[in-house]
Amino acid sequence: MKIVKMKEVIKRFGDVIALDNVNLEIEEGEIYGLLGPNGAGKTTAISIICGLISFDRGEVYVFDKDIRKDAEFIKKNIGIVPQDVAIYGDLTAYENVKFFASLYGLKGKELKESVEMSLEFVGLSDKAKEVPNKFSGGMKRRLNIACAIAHRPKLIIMDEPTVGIDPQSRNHILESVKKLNEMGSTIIYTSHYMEEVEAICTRISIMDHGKVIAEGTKEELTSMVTDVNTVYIEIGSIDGIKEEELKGIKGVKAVEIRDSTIKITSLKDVSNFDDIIHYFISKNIPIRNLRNEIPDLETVFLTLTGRKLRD
Amino acid sequence: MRELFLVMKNTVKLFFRRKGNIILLISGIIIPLFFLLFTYGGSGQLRIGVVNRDKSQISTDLINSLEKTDKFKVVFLKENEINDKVSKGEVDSAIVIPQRFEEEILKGNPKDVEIVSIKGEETSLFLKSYLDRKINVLYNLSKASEGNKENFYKMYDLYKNSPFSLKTYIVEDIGKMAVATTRSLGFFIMFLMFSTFNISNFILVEKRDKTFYRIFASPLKPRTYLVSNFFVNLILAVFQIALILVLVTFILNLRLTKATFDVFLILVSFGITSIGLSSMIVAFSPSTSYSNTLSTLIITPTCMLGGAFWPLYLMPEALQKLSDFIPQKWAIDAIEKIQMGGSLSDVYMNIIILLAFALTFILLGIYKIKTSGKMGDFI
Repeated sequence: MKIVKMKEVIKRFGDVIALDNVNLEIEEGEIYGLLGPNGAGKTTAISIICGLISFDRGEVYVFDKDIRKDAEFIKKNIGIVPQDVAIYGDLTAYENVKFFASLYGLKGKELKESVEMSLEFVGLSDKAKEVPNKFSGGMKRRLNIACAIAHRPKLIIMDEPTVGIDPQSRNHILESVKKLNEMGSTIIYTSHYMEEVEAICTRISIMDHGKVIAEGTKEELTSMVTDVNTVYIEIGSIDGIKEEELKGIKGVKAVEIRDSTIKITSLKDVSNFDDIIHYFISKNIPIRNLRNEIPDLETVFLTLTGRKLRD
Repeated sequence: MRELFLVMKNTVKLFFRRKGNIILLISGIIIPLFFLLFTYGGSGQLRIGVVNRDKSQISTDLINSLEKTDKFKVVFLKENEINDKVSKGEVDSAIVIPQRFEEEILKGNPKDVEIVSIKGEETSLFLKSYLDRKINVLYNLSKASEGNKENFYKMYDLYKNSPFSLKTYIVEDIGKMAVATTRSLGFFIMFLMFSTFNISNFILVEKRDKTFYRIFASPLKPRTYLVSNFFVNLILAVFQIALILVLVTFILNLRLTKATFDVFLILVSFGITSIGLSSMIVAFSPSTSYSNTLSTLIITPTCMLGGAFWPLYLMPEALQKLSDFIPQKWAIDAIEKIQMGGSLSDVYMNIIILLAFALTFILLGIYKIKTSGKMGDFI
């Protein structure tokens, strides 16, 4: 089942086009990453998926249902972790989760158990009776997640859930995203931190200026911008090394020797690591260091837009 | 229905969790009551300086009747003492019964009794209402006797000895309440407005704190949320109104009468108007800072113009005309009417006007929300 299907969606805010012909397809069970700089249209896209804002053109289906017709059903099965922490500072952690879960129809014993489970899940069980006004930023972010998952939604949308928190809380959140996915929820994860998206997402859309400029798995995305593989080899002395010999190895396209480091660029689909290393061993030249440069999503974004993600 | 109660319960919980709300609620009750206590605490007897230029049977009776009420202590003054005694506060008010007072009543055109007072409207309002009623009775007797002196005195004697005492007692009770409570209820009205605004403003606070976003991501209908805010507001307003009326009655050692209930109804109608106004302010405000400023700019000046702090007739005529467009005026006017002995039939127009204000405000608010797009775009 397609969890989300957006077809040629256009959304304008006045003169600004927030979404410009956006197409998205998200399969059940994915951790789907929406990557892009601030203002790229990620939050607009998920607000539309949640039925929070209308759109000007196109079609949106969630759980195979039309958002314009079945908004109530769709909303009931989505849990949203908003970009800004959305909790009551004066209600206890427990009361917060309980209130939001009850809006989804949970009651009685089921409600109580779900609330306790959610707090347990985000590691706030021992703070259940305390008010978030006294929480650290990371704890608030975790409560923000607890409020979104108590009703066990099929689709969990996390909009920049790690902004402005300490590394420990960040790791905790990333781990919980994976766990929630293992427990059966499909996840949409937006971020402008490409490391996070790289680490947890199964598929990724890169957005910029309201458009999806690239989509696929991390490997698919990186291969879009480059068809070569680059290895840096650091050796003690370059005496006895012949550029031509290295170029003779299958797949090698270019060799660059600078000081004690040799940069070898090969075709990506040719596997020649063995041959390269064998060359140095046969010449009795010790390898001090070896580094394989894989293009990351930052490179992909830079290549596609000419700008850095966090510009 | 379940959702409505859920959200209402949550709103009440939020209200009582924030100290500022409780402080506002309590001060809205305490400050008007303190005002009442400080102004009218003590014996409760008003010292009335009297200059009788008429020295007739009727004027003497009138003065005696003042004494008999237990609410006034009569002090006879010389003409030239009036200003001195009043300004020094040795008497609360002074009255001057004009020459040929009895004669003119018999002729059917009673002269007004002059009232000198600096304590402000409160003392003289009560005194004036008392004297007006008395003189009105005399005037009616005179009209009934068609200028015949003998007939007049016959009827006058009947009137004096008739079992009117009960009725006078009630009138005086209400009269005392009028003196004591109009101003403090005026203050209360202002606090009530701030209090209802405070609760309507929860919507913008939720918007600011983003919980609004989360609520609307849930299957809850925006309408349910708005209605729940309205109901919580109404319940708290009714609670405050009932509480202050009970306390005022208790402090003034009055009984809960039908008049109290009438004033309750008027205040509740005003409460609904005030909720309507606050909802409209919130609908037109993009942020809490905007709505806070707007509410202060609206509530305080309209309370001044509407006569919540001082009697309307002290203001220039143009401003008095302007006050017709201010809900507070209609509430205070209705309260005064009831306190002067009027009944609901005398103030139903005021109540209708108040509810019409409420409806207008609410419709304007709804119009604003509708035209600004879906509730979602209000986020």
